[in-house]
Amino acid sequence: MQKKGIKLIAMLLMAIMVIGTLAGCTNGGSGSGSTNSKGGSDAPRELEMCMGQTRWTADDIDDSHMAAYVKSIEEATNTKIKMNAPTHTDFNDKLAALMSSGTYPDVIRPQQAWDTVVQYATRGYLIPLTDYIKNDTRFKDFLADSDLSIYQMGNDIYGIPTNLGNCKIFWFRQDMIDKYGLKVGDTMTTDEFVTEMKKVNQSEIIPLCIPKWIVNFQIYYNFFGAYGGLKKDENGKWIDGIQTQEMKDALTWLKEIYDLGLVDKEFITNQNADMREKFYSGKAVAMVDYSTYYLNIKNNSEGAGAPTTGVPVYTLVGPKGGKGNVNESGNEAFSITNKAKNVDACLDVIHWILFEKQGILNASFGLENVHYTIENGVLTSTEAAKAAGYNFSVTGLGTAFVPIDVTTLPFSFDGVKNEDLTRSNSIVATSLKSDYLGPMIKVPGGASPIYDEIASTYNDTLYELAAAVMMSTKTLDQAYADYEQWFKSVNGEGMLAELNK
Amino acid sequence: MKTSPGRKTFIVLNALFIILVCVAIMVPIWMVVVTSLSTDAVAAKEGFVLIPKGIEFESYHKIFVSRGYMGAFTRSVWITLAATAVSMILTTMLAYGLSQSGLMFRTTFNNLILITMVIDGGIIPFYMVVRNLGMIDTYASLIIPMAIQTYNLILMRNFFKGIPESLMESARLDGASEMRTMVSIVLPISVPIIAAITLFYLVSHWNRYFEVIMFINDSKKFTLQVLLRQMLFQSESSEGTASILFNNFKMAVMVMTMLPILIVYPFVQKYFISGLMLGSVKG
Amino acid sequence: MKKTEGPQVRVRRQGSSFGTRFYKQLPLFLIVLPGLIWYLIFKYFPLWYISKAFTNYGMSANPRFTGLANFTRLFQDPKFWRAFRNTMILSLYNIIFYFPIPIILALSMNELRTKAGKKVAQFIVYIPHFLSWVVVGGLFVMLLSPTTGIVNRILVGLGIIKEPIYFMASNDHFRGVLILSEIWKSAGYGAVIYIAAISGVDSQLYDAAMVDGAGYWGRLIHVTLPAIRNTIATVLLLTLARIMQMQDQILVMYNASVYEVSDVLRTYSYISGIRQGNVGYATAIGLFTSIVSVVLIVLSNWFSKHVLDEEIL
Repeated sequence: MQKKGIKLIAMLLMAIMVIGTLAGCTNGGSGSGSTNSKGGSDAPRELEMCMGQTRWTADDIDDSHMAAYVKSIEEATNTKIKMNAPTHTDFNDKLAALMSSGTYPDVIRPQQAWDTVVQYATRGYLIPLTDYIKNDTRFKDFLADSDLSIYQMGNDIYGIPTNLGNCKIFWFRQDMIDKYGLKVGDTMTTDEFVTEMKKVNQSEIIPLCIPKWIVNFQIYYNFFGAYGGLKKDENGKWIDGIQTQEMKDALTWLKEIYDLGLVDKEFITNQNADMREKFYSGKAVAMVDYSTYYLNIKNNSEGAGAPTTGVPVYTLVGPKGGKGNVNESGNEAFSITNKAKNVDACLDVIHWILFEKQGILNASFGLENVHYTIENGVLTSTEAAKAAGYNFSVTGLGTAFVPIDVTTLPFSFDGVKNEDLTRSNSIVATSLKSDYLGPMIKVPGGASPIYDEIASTYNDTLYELAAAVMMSTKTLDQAYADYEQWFKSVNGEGMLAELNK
Repeated sequence: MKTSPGRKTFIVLNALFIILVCVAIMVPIWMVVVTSLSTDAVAAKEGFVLIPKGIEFESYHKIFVSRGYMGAFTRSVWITLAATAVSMILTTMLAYGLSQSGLMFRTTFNNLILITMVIDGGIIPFYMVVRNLGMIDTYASLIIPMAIQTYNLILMRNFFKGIPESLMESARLDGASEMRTMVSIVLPISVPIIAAITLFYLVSHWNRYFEVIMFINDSKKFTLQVLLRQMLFQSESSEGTASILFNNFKMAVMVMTMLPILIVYPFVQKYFISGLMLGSVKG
Repeated sequence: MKKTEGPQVRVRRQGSSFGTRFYKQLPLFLIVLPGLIWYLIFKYFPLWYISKAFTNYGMSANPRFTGLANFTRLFQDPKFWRAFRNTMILSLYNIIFYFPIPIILALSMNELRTKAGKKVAQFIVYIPHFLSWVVVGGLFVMLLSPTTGIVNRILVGLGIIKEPIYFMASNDHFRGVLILSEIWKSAGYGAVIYIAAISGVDSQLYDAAMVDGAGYWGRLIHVTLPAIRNTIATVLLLTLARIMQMQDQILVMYNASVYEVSDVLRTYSYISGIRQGNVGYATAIGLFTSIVSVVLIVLSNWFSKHVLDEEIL
């Protein structure tokens, strides 16, 4: 048998060696068999695109719906689009595989774009859009006020955000506030929050329900003036936000409220959907979710047989006055890759989707007679579309680049009252005010090769640290000792030095 | 046969043990089925339902009226059948060949195949190979690249090995070609293993989902598993206005993925034992 | 696989040149050819990309040769060593706790007295195999929930534990959850093979043992177990090969609070290669995993040879 074992290993090593040598001889060129389609000015220009979904397609499983939407873009922009629309759940993995295997399309619309756009730009997959954003009439007016530094590498911008802004805030159930006599509001301090939440009978109801996504913890860090990532100190020098006293304070507070039972004990296995389900069905008093959720809460709590309205709390106030919500602005962005054969066509498409009124409406409601019908001035989903998971979206229009006040449209929406729409719009607008909007600090791409390589590992390591401290699987000191060891292993000091050069 | 009291106790305890095992398996599955038959309100309140409170088919209705669902269902059936056919042809031929002592380099081939069970390049290299073959976004990418599973191949090869060589020899002496020997002598007495392995392949092709996500770009070609998973995680979506789906719908989705296989399974079950018997006796 | 060689092979080799022998077995060769080509294309061509472990592939649109950089990083990376440790521990747990279960289950089912009972039991234990890990993961989260889960309710009800345990987030219990869910899902499927092997045992052997006055346990030890020894050895090897591939299950079930005990080489490689796009580094991890697998399998073969007296490779 030993001979056999040796033989096996020998064979194996031989196979690897042969393959290695073979691979060494040829330069693994990524097959870029791009045929330049010239096409006159009136022939449709061809392009490939990869995006998750529009607002209404998020959950829509009927492919003809997407096809109709793509057709509407094609007609408006004189293009021929090959659409690659992976399902939402697997979008990130699919796009990542497309990128790293070198088979990416002309236009992409990554999610968590504040990280991914810079990542792809530093890897050399994208073309700079600075010139178009600054000078092209299709873009310059709309984007003039936006801070695009989160998509910056060197001096260039590589992404165009899909809306004006987005954030997550605390939502409370009105019926629970009444039941337990809670005093909630935006001037509530972290200590008052603890006092109020203790009034909730924990054996029946979860005080605060949150999902497993620790990226949302920034909302608590804000109260203590901490930032979960690299940030600049008062002297303008880059420091590691995790290794600060503020962060330790924030984590200690989180552990405290977790131990007190004020946070869902089972948050670490909550999908977003689980959290929402608990909140809608009245199993939880509060949750952390998008500020656009007013209508969802109203409709879904009714569907769950526990009707109530949502009361927004835009932020708490920390012991030293720190505040802010989870800033998710720029979560999705459009980028153009270096494979684009016709950049102008790509820009036309992006422009139409983001800055043309019809484009925005199509992305929110879909198309008439495919997704919805308008009867007696009421927009109603078709039966088939509804069954496929379609749902018209009325909440995001206020944050579109060409803001559309839905209450002024010539039709109303099935099951949506105008006063609720007005309320929802005002909540969204308030949540995005600078008083409440949390920070979003991103290291510009290209400044530190070390950071560019380890950025996502860095985030994962923070999530692990926060979870371990909060749930007491490690003590604060122990968790930080492990973190420091990791920080050292990736040459974290060298990374900061590179950034501060 | 005489049965001692100790033996009797053992038989009873043993039966109890098996019943316990079956209960442990059935309780979760029971909960899935019962929950899928509940109303939204019940599912929202209880999460998972142990004791049914009336039977409602609204979740199943939701699934069935959706055009996307039925389209994907038929597509999935065809892809699964085609993939299973290809798998069976390739696996049977290879397994038969490798079981015959007449084949040269048999041990080498066997070892080279065994090695692939532990060494693989990962998903990106696999993707690149499929891409270089021009298969991306075609149904072929769901049928050919995953055609052979080494585990199944070994079971089948071992079964063939257990068939007395004299049977094949006499056919060969009668002038039958190798292909003919396989088809008319070996396959008819291998129905059990063929049935069992067919089911194994059916299950894995039916449940396939990650490769579909990776290899298929056009949403017109998505299979049922992809859509069902999308439905299952639907409310994860970032910020749409989706109405929340409660556990009853999600569990109905789960039942729908299991159902086709559960319908086929009883018909194949009887071949299992005899099929795998020879497959496993000779390692 | 090994035993069928031997005398016949030696006989055939006498007095036949390579050419004639090759010609003689040509029809057989043609039959295996399509399958072999398939293996070459879909199992061996991807190995070509192992060379990417020596590049920064995925991190750049124009990858370049980086020598051993990925491996240097690998050996300095505490997360890699953690993944390695977890892989080893989970493999060991799997062998100790999961591996014998299907055998016990099969022996036990074989002792059922009624044919209908056997059939029903076999039907039921097999069902979980049809469920994907996504589904099983969701089921276990629900069953093990500290507030609503049935398991905690039973354990507290029976007074085995005082406080409900949050199994999915406990470093002490999470590996147990992984093994338990593996048992729930796969033990029945695993048992079928042993049931088949047991039913293939010559009944004359049992009769002979009875005559010798062997009781149930005597027959089990002297007849049944020796007869299925080979199957056990084969399955042990296949199990080892599969443990190293364990990925879906963990990806579905783990969370940030238990990475410490459950992040394994495959998941770490998946996260690095797909999520973070560092294909070169992920390939380096994959190469290392493969080497470890081979070592494990050779070891298990040694174990089979010396303890079970069966050789598989």
